[in-house]
Order: sequence, then structure tokens, then C-alpha cells
Amino acid sequence: MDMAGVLPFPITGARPQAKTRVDHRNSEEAALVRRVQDRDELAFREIVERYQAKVFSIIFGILRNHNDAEDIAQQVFAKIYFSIGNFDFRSSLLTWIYKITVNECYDYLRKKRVRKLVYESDFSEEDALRMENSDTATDQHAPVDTVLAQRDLILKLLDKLSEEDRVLMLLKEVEGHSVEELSRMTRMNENTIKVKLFRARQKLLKAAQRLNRTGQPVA
Amino acid sequence: MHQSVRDGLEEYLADTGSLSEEFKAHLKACRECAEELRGLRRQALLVRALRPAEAAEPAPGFYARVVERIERRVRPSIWAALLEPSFGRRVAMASAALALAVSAYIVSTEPFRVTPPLANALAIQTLTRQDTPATVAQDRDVVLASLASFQEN
Repeated sequence: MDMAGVLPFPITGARPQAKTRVDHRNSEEAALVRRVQDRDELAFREIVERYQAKVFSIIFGILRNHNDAEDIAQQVFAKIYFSIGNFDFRSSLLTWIYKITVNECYDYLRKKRVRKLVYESDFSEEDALRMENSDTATDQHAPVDTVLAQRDLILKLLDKLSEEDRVLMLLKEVEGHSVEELSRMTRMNENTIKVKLFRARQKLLKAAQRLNRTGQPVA
Repeated sequence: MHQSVRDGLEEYLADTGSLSEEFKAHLKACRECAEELRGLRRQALLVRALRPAEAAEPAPGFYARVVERIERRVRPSIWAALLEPSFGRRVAMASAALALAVSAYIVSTEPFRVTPPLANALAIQTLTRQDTPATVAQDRDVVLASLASFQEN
């Protein structure tokens, strides 16, 4: 693993540093992947059936549209079929599929320029201020358009992160995985995960604050 | 953000309840860290808004549709095949060879006839014209007049 550019992150908490490393090459899942790499259609079908609900949920969480979710989910599995030969077992299959899925969603958002998505030019200072100070993310009674605007803004801000940081952030906050689980899934140590998450959070915060200050595009 | 808070940040945001005493003590004393933590918590809640509100499942027959999409990519259309460089090159060469063969056939089977329109006209004129002393004299006059009026530029 490349640790270059990653600051040491001393742990002083009560929980000891987990040293677990999962070997993704020798699992049942790895055997399934190898069968697909050998073009075993039954194995591919098993992967589709095993992960289709998960993939569909991820896409639906981001896009909130059943038709788009169906189309992108098909695209995700087609991509899995064609690129599974490049899967190198450095992460879990789920992490790899998750990354493909999120990337497909972002490709779709960038290409289609979904009208509902709030872009910099449409985003006023007032909107930014409301975002900065509101707690509507947890407010079940918030107006639908406000919730949508907030969701779209966070999608846009997440687009400012690197692919890896975006996936980590989503796995942590949307999927609810712990740092320890993320470490197992990605084969990065927990310190590295924490540093990456911290930097990603800071970047998101700064992007939102800059938007709030200037009402201008987030660089 | 101070290191002690940074160390416990993920546990704090995940509400695991396993915060160190150092973390709690620092948070009480440091207004700057407390403020930053509030911002990060709001942000985390916003990201969690991307969790699907309802269970989302594809419609039945999803695998068949995936296979169909894969097959569409594996078997490209005839137009895509024509655009493929190697196939296109072969088609171009075959077309050139065919054109050459057809040309050779036409040339070899065409009867030899040199009857251009001008040659025909001259031949007819030669055959039909009867030179008389008067026409010969007239021709000579025309030639002499042309020579006399000729001016070199």
C-alpha cells in the first residue's frame, strides 16, 4: 500500500488498533470471481443475483429515480462482466462493485446534467447559507424541495473529492460501515482510513464554506 | 482541530459512545474544536441523506436484461463492423480489385472502333467535296489574304 503523502495519525482512543488483514484472494467470493473470470455464466449470474439489490439501492439513494436506477444498474453489471478480468483482489468484491456503481452514477450525473441537480451557477448565497445552518437533513417535516436541494448540493460537493475519498465517505456515512470494517474491505490500515476521511470531511466543509462566503463556484 | 479530537472524530460522528475522556475534556475546553465538530456533524448528516428512504429492488427479469445488454455490446451492429479498420481495409481492397477486373473485361470485349466525330466529319467532307478550278482559286485567295494580313506580335 502506498503510504506516501499520508500523515501519521496517532491513536489515543480506548480501542486498540486493529491489525486484521483480510486476504481477499482465498475467500469463497474470490473463487466465485475466478469462475467469472473463466467466463462461467452461472457464476456471473450468482454475482448479479447476490449484488443486484445492493447496487440498485446505492444508485437509487443517489439518483432517486427507478428508471435511471434500472438502466445504470444494468450498465454496472455489464461493466463488471467486461472488467472482472482486471479485478486484482486488493479489495473486497463489494468494495469494487460499490466503486463502479458510484462512478457510474457520477458519470451519469455529469453527462446528463440532471436539471434537478443544483449547479454552482444556480446556487445563490441564500441557498448556501440555508445549507450551512440548517438541520433539515434530519428533519422529517422539511419541505421536499429543500431536502432535494440539500441532497443535490451534497452530491455536488462529493464530486469535488477524489474517487477513492468519495467512495470511502459514502461507505462510511451512507452504508454505515465502521473504520474497522472499511479497513478490512479496502486493505488499508485504520489510520490511513481515518486520515483520508478527515481530509475528505475538511475538503467538503471548506467547499461548502467557500460557497457560503462567495456564492461562487466551488473550485 | 486539535489532535485529541481528531483521533476520536469518527467515533464521535458515528455516535458509538466510545469517546475517550481526553476527547470529552478537550471538547468542553476548546470552543474552536466544538464549533468545527458541529459543522462536521451537520455535514455527515447531509451525506446520510443519500441513504435510500425505501427498499429499492430491480424489477423481475433483471438478469435477463443485463445479459441482453452484454450481448448487444458483444455483437456490434453491421455498421459498427464496417467502421472497424481491418474490416474496412479488406472491403476497400476487394472493391478496388473488383473495379479493376470489370474495367479489364470491358476493355478486352469492346470492338475496336476509331470513329471520333471530327474524323467522321473530315472524311465526309473529303468524300463529298469536289474540287473545281474555281474553288481552288478561291482557296488560294483566302490563304494569300491571310498571309498578307498576318502581323507578328
